[in-house]
Amino acid sequence: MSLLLSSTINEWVKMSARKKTIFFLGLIAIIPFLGLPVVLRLQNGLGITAVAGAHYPINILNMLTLFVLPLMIFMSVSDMFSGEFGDRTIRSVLLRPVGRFKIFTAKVLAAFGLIAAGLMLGWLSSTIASFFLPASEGMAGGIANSALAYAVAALPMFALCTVAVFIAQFFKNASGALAICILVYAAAKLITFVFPEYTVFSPTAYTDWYEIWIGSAVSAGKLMTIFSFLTGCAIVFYTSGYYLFDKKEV
Amino acid sequence: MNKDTVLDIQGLSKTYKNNRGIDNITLQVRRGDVYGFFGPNGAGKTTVMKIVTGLVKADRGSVRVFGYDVNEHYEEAMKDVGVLIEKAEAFEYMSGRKNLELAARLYPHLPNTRVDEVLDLVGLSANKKEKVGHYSLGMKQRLGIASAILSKPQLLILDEPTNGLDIEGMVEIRELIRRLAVEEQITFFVSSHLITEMEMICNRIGIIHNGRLIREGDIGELLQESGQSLETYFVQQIRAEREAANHEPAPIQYH
Repeated sequence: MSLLLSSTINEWVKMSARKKTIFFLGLIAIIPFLGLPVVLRLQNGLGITAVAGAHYPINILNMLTLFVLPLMIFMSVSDMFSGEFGDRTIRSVLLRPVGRFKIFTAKVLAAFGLIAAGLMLGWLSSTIASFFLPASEGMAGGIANSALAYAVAALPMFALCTVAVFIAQFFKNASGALAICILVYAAAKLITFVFPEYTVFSPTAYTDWYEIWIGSAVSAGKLMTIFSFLTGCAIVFYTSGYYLFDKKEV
Repeated sequence: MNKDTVLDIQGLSKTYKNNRGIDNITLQVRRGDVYGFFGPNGAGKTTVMKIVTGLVKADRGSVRVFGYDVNEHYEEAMKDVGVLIEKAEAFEYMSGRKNLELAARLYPHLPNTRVDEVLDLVGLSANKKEKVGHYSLGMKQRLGIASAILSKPQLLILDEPTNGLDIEGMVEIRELIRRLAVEEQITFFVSSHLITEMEMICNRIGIIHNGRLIREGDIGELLQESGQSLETYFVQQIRAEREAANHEPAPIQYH
């Protein structure tokens, strides 16, 4: 257990030492403030409340889960797996008295940690930014709702992360893995528009499942179905990813 | 397995897609040995070392380190082993010290001063805060050695440790190996394609050629056998092997 924890901390230290990670976390923190002038101008110009303060964090979450977080996940996972195999720095990890299962799990946990950090930062930043917008009724309830939405948004992001981990095992350079992850994600998103009947089979179709949680009528059955599907996807891709990782020769 | 055997390799074979590899390698490294694994480039030294350290899987054969099978009990087998395979691979976007701190975190028993101690030992104290990306090849190699000895291992596996070093660096590494073998009682399994280097630091040697171990023994014994230097001995062995191969009966052809 202590080796798994130490390995996870090591992965975190490596991630935080990369400028790309800092850039993405910085971006997540400032996006809500960058959006403020646009929303305010729209409201002043039209004279109507386009986005109420209570809903602003949810609007930001839409953008984060659609573009920013997936991109950050693909980038980190590509660097963590394909990048380290490509420049052979993975050897400095594999040659320590830590089994491959723990190394693989530590990397995935570190990526999950990054997702959680991104979501927390996004919620905090968008909640602060929402106070600059016209207050609407039920601001306190809105904050609680948005906290719930940000928390549950983590699950589809975790599932997406395991898909990226699986894809990364096929590449020996980070840029190749990143490009394919983006292509696969874009294709999966497109397919749901072209063939909506296949939506249920794609984990990318549930990146906005938090909307069901904050809706007025929550169907427990539907939530359970989606939860099971996403968890199942994560387990399948995690296991398949580990199988490939364990077989790799450096 | 003898209780003094630190590394036990039995019938190790591996064939790559290009048909190169190693064939039926069997050798033992005893406690206190500085075992030189000598052979020309491409002979299969690195393949053996990669299999020993779990980077590559063998097609056949077994490897036991301190009595533990490397495939089945990797963590126990590698607990007291330090490794440097080919060239040192460090995270270039981090400083030399940070790289060692990552490794040190995996050995809870190490004192906090150990990282600075090994940096000092390999002469990198002045550059410890510099990013590894700015290091010269020789400095990276020193960092690799510092990383290998960081955990105070009982067995050090070094693959061509003097690669990329200038003459002064090579001498320093040789002296370091000698010193660690005597003062810290570390057992070494060192590969090199430089026979004079092997002659200077090792007490036992295994000669590998074309993926096969052609001779193994104590340095003194081999020198006595050759009557001259190990260099001459190696050339004699290769010629003898080549002649034997040429005189092998042709395989039976079925029509």
